[in-house]
Amino acid sequence: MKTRKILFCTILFLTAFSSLNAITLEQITSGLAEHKVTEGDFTQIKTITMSKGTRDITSNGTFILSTQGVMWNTVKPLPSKLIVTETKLVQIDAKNNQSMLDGSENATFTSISSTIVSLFSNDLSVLKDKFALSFTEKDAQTWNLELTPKDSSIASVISMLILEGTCKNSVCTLDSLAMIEKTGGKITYLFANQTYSEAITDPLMLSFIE
Amino acid sequence: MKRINLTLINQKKLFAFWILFHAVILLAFAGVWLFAGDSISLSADLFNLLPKTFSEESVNMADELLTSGTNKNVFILVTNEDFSEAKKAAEAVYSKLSESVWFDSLTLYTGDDTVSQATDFILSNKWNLLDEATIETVQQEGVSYLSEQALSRIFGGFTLISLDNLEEDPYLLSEIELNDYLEKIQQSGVGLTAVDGVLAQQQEGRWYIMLRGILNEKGAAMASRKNGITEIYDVCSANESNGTRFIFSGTPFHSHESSSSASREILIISIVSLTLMLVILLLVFRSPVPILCSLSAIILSSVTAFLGTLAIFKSVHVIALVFGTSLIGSCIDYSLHYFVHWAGNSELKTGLEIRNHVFKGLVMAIASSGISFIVLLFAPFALLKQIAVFCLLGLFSSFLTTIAVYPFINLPCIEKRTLPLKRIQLPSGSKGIAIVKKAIPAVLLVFSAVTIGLFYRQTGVKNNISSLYKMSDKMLADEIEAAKVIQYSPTGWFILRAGTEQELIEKEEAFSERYKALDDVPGYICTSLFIPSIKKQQQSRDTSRLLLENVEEHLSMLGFDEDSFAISRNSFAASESQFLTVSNCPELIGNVIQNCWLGEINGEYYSVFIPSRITDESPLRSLADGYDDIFFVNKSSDISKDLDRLSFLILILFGCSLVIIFILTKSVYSWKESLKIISVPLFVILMIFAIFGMLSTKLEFFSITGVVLVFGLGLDYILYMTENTHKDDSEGNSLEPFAIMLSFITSLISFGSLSLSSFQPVHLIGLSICIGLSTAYVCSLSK
Repeated sequence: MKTRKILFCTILFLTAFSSLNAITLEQITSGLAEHKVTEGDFTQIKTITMSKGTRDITSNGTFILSTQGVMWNTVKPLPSKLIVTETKLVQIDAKNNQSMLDGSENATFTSISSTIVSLFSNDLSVLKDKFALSFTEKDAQTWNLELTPKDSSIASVISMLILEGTCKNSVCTLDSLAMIEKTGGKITYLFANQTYSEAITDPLMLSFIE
Repeated sequence: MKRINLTLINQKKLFAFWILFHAVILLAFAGVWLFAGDSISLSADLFNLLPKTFSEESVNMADELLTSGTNKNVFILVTNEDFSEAKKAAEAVYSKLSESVWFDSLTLYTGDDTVSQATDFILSNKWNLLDEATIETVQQEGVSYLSEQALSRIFGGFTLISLDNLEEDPYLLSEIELNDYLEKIQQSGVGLTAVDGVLAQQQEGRWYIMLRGILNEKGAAMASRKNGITEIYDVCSANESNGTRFIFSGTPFHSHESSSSASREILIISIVSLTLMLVILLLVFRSPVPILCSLSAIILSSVTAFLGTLAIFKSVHVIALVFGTSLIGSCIDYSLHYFVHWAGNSELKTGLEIRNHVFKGLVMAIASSGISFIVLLFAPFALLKQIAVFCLLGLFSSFLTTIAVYPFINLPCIEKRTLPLKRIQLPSGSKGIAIVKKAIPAVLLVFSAVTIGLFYRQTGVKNNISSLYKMSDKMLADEIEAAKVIQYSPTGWFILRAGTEQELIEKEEAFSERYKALDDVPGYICTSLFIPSIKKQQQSRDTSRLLLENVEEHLSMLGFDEDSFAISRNSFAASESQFLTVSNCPELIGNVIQNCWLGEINGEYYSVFIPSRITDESPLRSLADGYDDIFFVNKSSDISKDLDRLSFLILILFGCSLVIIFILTKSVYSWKESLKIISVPLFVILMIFAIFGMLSTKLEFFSITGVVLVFGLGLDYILYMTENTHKDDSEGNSLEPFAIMLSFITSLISFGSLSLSSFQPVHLIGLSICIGLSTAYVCSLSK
């Protein structure tokens, strides 16, 4: 009888403790929302299907994520930059040649670019508006969020996005982003050395933000 | 002209001829209906009544092929501030209209596989579709430049296409080409893009989703009460809720509006005219016989005219029917002249005597009217021919009824043969009245000369087809809003011609370069934008071959091995003699160019080059100058110019009619009388010019057509009056002015009501005839 009581109390205690420490989607988004601008290093792995199986194409660089836009600054093996804002997609190659897709009057482009930017808005209502969400807790500190685009035009290109991160001592970080293409291809971004600030300072990125 | 002994004209033979005439018309119609019943129709299409733009038949056919397709296009924009509400309403409308029998096709969804279709198409044809800029870059900067760019994108953040095809497309040529195609589509002008599976655009806080339909023949038949447009309106009005609105754009909506109002107005005009005639006849004759006979004659002449015109042309335009309502006024003239003597001239004892009394006047009247309509038969314009045939048949039927049937009607007893209202006419006899009458021509001349002098800037002949159709406020607002959203409102285009498909595409490419060299030109769409010539595709292949010579170095950067090197080369070799053409292009591209490629017509190939909008057409017209195989079409200004030409032609024909009629009258009357008769149409022309000038309205095709009509009608008055002066019977002499006054009033009622029409062509004809008739009547008083 005594043993049962102890066991019962232990189970009750563990359940209460785990629910106290369980990560919720709201916690994640509000935690991430505290970071207006996130900068850091990334490793990009593009998994492509070839005649002899799959192959990974890896590159490294730095990134800037904000609600106004994102920038991928690839450093190795070939330098290039990609800047995506609400209305523009800019690609700059190693020789500084620039090509820009201006989608200010193109609803499809605006939809795609705002979908990409909204990923990092950390605004739950925006995410729910654009994606069907599936949130899981891997363990006490690690979370996984699957996003399926609701816009069928976008879903015909990107079938799913998977965000993974950690929350420690109520500080939440985004550790990786995987983009699953409709054709089966996959692009994975691993983020590291994140730092946070209140505003974008990179002059190149600022020049493209209206 | 020898005097005809009228007593020798056998009444029974005349009657037999009357039966024969109507029987022939009826049989002719029955024959046509039996053998070609399907092609008999009533047309209300505004563009159908306009002259052909080109002198070359095959180019006209090309133009008609293009406009027959575009004239059945309907665009429905569903708008709401909330995208999901707009999409819900669009889907509801689409679901309902998909079941309709009035459409050849209806599109709402872009199709989730559109993107994959586009990338598959480009991937399959990647070696052939490189644009000139990329080819030039490779030539100038070398293969390594393109290699570096491709590697930047492969290792970089984002590619439009999947990298799974890297072995086959190591330089990401399909990415370059997809970018190029997207840019071309954007620049070609259509403002909507795919959003959540539909074509949509957001503007000023509202979402617009587009449904596009193509009506079939029955759906586009605006003369029918039920058609594609009425169904669209019914379905859309049932879905207007929660802030959702519908905007309609496309020629069929305007045809429907003008046809509906034209049909309503014809009915109202006919009813009002007939009712007023009835009242006048009742007041004048106080007997049902003249009324019943006149009405019967009108109905018979209208039916005869309608059936005869259908038998000859198989299709009658509603404008020709509108002229038919004017027949009411003309036909009743003959009846009135007969029955005025029937009811009021006791000196004429029998129907035969009455016939003989009015015969010469009626013959001169129908001869003058007939000449003016016969002259219209020579105009190279189907509508004018229809009007001429319609009026000729109707007038002749009415004339025959008057001289062949009416004499058989018993006369009233002698006591009842009075016309109390005959007192209501202008007094005659006094010296003052005589002076006033003599002064009429001078007054008319001075008035018209002074008015034309004062308003000379507004006086003249000028056609502007766009002024003939006034959109309702709602239609205009819809078109303005639709133009802002769709951003594609071509008002002119180029038709190109060549002997073969490839020659035509090369011609388009050369033309595109000349077009792009102009300053500030908007985007355009044409076939060669999406299907380059084989020559250009060969240049693209030559550049691709150059790139593939260095593919090992390129793919080694990615860690690929020898097996991978061969894949792209094999793909290139396999497509060695495969070129993209109009005939083998995929459905996706076919849909994009369907309005641009007209195909083979009479052994030659035609295509259309369409600027997305035109602000200044003169530099565009000059692009086509000097080229036999390139034609610039701006329907509005081309047709206006053609109508200018026709208007002057009609005035020339009018002049010829004057000469013919002068010769005819000279053979019957004296010089003085002939000159007086012939001066009436001249005064009519002057007064019409003067009054239109005062109203700041230039004469145009329809008002000039009205001049031709009044030419015949107006001459009748002076002819009757001239005949009257040659007659001895005192009672008849006093009755003739009364009959003319009655004719004038009834004609004014029937034509006056036309001038109240909101349909501009009808309004202008009515106004011109009113002025002309009034002038002709006033001139007849001077006799």
